Amino acid sequence: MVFNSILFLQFIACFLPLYFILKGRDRMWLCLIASYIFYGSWDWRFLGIVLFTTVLDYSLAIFIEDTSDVVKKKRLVTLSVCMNLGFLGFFKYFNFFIDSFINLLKIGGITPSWHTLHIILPIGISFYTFQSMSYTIDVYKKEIKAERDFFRFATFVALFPQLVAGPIVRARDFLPQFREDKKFDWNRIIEGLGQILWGFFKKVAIADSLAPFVDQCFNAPDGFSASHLLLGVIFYSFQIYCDFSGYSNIACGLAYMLGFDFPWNFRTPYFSKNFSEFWTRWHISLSSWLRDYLYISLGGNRNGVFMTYRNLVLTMVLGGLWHGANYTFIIWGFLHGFYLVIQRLVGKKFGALEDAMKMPKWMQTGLDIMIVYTLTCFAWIFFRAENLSTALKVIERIVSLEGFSWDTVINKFMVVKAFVLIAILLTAEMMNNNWQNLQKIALVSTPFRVVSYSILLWLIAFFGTFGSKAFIYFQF
Amino acid sequence: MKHFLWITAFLTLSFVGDRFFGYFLKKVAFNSQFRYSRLYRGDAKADILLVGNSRGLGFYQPEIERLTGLNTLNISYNGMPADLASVLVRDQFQKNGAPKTMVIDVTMCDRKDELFVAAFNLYSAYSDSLKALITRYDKTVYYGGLVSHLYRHNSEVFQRAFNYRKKTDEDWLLDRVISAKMASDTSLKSYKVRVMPEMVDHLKEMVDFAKSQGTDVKLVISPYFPRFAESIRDSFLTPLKTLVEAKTGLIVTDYSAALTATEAFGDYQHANKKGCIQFMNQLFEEKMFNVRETLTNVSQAAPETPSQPTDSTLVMPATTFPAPKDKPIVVKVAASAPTMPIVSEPVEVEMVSATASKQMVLPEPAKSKKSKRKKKHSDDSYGTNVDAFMLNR
Repeated sequence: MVFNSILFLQFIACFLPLYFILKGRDRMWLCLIASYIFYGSWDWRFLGIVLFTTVLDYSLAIFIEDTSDVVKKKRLVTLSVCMNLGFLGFFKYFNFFIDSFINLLKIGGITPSWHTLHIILPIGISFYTFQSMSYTIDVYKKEIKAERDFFRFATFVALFPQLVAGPIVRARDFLPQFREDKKFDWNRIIEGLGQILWGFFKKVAIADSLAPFVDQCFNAPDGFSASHLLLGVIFYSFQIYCDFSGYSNIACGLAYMLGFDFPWNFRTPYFSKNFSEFWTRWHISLSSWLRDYLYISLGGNRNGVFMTYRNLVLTMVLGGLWHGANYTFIIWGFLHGFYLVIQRLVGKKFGALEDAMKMPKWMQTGLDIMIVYTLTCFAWIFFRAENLSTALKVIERIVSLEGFSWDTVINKFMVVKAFVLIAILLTAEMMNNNWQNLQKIALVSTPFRVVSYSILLWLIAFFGTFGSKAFIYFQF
Repeated sequence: MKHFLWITAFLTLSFVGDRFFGYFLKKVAFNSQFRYSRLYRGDAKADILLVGNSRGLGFYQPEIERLTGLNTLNISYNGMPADLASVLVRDQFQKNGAPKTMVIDVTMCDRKDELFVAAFNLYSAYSDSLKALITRYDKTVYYGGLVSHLYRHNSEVFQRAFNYRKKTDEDWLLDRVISAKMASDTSLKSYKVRVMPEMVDHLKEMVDFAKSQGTDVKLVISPYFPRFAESIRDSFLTPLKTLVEAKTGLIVTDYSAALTATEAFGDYQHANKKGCIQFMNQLFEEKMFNVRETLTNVSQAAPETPSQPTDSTLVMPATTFPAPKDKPIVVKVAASAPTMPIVSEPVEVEMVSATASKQMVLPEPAKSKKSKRKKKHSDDSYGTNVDAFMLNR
């Protein structure tokens, strides 16, 4: 059941009235059952994994809190981390590591008779595993108290808006919200509706409209000119942004309607002027999770320059691997780690150079944004490609500049539509980014809301691609 | 109360705006010079009707009109399946009358595509059969179009109608040369194409209907890139030809290997403008366009031309003919052509040398109202369908 499907509309139409009619634990039960139905609609067998993760971390957190033995606490939290990562590793990385190992042996002249297993990746496993695991770590660090109410904890893990593709909410932020009795609030409904419409516009109108063009480029790069492939890469940068941030907008909007506050997951990332800033604007819930639970645990920037660089690269490589078991994700992560290191090495000098050249401020900002965007797009090639050879083929063909002209671009109608949609997106993002006053108007002015929501509906109707296409991040 | 007003205002504005913009878009689409807009407006009377998918776009209208002096309408579209083509053909006959000749590229029987059919929803208001076809595939598309008129115009078909609102689409053709890399690629492994018998049934319906209206139907397989044609000959072309001939009782003329020069192709499946012009000339030479009708038509359109003899030879300029450019092309008109049902005295057309006895100079094709429309530039952007992306099957 995806948000952009008729089935989900029917689901939410049944769920919302019941949610506001019921109160207290009945409401929590409703949330839990609805969330399991939502998740089970993909494959009911996956529910077992969610339940196992829930029971495991619920029990271990209580044991951790109840024991006074520091060593035992440490063992228990280690068990939680190992079990969660073990589950994730089995479903997500088993075949990858077996394949890699077999290939390694083959290089050494040994041909083993092992086979990879046919493992179906449970949808959203990376998200709820990280969410649940961070809870036990937080209890171990005594940052939060263990939740004694199993159904509350189960609802925290499984609440459907964020279950399959985040944002990865922290227990310390989210669990207390379950203790409050949510009241029906018109303002929340209206603001949530705005978020949902904006998310649908990004997903249905932009991401899904760009998808066919991008898919063709990456499926058979040999058949297209350099200019066509370059457009494919640019479009992919917007496709993945709109797909994922669109999902986050819908998830946040739904949660907001229900009375929950989710953290923002995206803040106009393509307007970032450096890569540190990019990672405070892109998939914020994951990047902050990696910072708090991995980068800082590795030592962060406390052990000298070299170790800082190592930790940066390692964190980003593991962040890449979180997305999936493929060398392309590892390279994507490595590139971002490398960018962060290079930025630390030459960032200040580059800024000084810009100042020395007496470039106007707007030009400096524009140049910085362009550099970050271009390098991000380069990394996206690896992220999108099925394998390394495809990624290298795309790069090779773009760099060759073979047939680099507008005439060699195929599917110009789709390209024109894409440009129109991206222009609408960037205009709205710029308004959001720069014109805070306008945002305030949007928040308080009813006429502004009525008009802007109607415009969004029109845009979705006129530009939308209604194929109930799944969100890209579901595969992670 | 305030919230009730808020919701009412939102719903009202959404609905009114949808209808307002929908009305505007409907006007744009209806008044466009795009082929289907003209078809449903009743402004597309044609002597020759050309039908196909993206390969059918290679029936290059300006050249056919130049050669024959007849009005043409090409209702081909990228990736068009035969069931939709059948509906469009019926609507064309109903709105604009029966053409004298209909040429169909039968390779459109390789797919069934409900998404593609849905893209024609903007014309569903003008055709019950189109409406029935769309609802047969997906009711939500049709009813979605009733709920939101903006949604009805949400398709590449509308974008093209918008693009051609003031200019003709008759030279919509791939105008590039296949890359050297593609041309030299010998693998061609990723391409799979198969015959869809269901679509052949629709083709048969289309043919039977046209024949029942007195239209002469010609079935062809347009040229493929030579090596590519060979790669799909056993799996697709031969079974397709056999099945279509068995079902329709007509001969399918196979031109899949008619063009050999690399420069004549835009990609593996599509001849480019140069190739299409050459192909049209070949079709003309082989009487696929019912040239006898041409002569009747031309003689009517150009009163200064001597009346058409029953056995005559016409000399016409051959600017793009495959024959040597400086030599005139001579068309000999002779008696007896039993396949021509409309003209009372059937004649036959054949290419002969310029030294034939009775000669008359064929005038420039009389410009029809349609052909006077502004022709700005060709559009080589092949649409969203995988058809244009031959490696992506």
